[in-house]
Amino acid sequence: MRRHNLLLGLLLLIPVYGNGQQARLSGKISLDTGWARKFYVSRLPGFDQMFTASRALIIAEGDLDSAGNFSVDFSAGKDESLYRLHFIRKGDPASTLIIGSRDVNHVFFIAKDGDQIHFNKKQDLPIRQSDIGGSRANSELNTLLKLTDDDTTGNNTFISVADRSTSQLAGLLAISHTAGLTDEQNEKVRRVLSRYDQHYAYGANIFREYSNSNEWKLYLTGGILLFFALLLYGYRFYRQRSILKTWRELSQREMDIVGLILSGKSNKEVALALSIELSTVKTHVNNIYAKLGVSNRKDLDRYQELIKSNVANR
Amino acid sequence: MKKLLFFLLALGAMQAKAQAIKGSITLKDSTLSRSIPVEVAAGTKSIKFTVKVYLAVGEVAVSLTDPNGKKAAGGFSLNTHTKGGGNEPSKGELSADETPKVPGTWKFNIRAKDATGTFNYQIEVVQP
Repeated sequence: MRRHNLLLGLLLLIPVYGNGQQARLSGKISLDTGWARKFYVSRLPGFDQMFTASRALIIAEGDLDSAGNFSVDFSAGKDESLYRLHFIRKGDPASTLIIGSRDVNHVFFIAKDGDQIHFNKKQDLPIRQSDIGGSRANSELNTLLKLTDDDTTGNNTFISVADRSTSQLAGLLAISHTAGLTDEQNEKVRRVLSRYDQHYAYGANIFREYSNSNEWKLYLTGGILLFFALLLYGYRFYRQRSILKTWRELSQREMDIVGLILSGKSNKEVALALSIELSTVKTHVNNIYAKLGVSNRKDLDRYQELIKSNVANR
Repeated sequence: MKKLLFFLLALGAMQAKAQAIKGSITLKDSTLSRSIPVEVAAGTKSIKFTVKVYLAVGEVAVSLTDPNGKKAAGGFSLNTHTKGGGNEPSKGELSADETPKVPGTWKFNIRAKDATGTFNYQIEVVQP
């Protein structure tokens, strides 16, 4: 009995998996006699193919009934994809694209597995993008495509649409319409993209572009830091060489006096330690100051580390 | 009545001076890349372009770029590829009206690869 139930369960599952992932498009259109009673659905793998006519893109087709009704099931993945529905005039090839005139022959739509898309063209009006609907993604797409037709739509509007879109595909399409972004706008786009699935095929170029712009900034920052580090190292190297060169101009007696001064002795103590007159020490100190380019003991302290290590080396 | 008609015609001619560029290309297994310069003065009202392409075999792409090289809306491409690796004809028609924001030399670009078919275009620069 248990085996029979298992078999029955498996049989019930067959229609589900047998159909694969599908969406349904249905609609109604009234066309004059110059048009063929056919419709075609193309799957557009990238935004740059939205206005590409090719038989290879067509994934489903069918006939209109006498009242202009049509319906088709077509394969659709679990992620949203971009599609185009189009009609043709009598005598035209199946892959015909008419853009911008009263005879415009297509609309775009977004669909994923299980979606029900509806198309309804008003009589005596040309085909319009707003004729298609059936999901929130398509409402967002229609709003966006209306904005793209308007020359005055700027980057901020597209970014705002992308920010509000529940459909990642519509959001990415909005971002693809931006150009010449400011740093602030770039940052906003990056924030929007951080919420998106980075493996989503439609965003491949966009994700690459924004990841490149990040890398570019990283390399620039690294380059600037390296440049300043080299500059600092060069400056210190030059300064050290210059001090050592000056140091070597001192006589042995002057070097001894510097050593004593750096150990904290006063002129009088230096005179006692070296058994020379205080005035002689003062003359040596003045000569040392002149040679090392310093004006007091405090300045001499600045070279203490270098001179001390050099004294040790000698 | 005649005077009024003459006046209206003269007014129409004054209001919209259009500079038109027309052309036709017969493609025979052709591979080409051609840019047609379109001079756009400051204050130009619009660039209207009409393109009709019938492609028996190959690939064709059409685009309009502004003086900075940025693509304007309204380009399209055609190819005759089928999923099985064969060829089926394709057709494209475009009627676009672009309001040019940038004056200078715009370019109407045509690219064809191993293409056989016909290509007709007309570009009108409408001055105010």
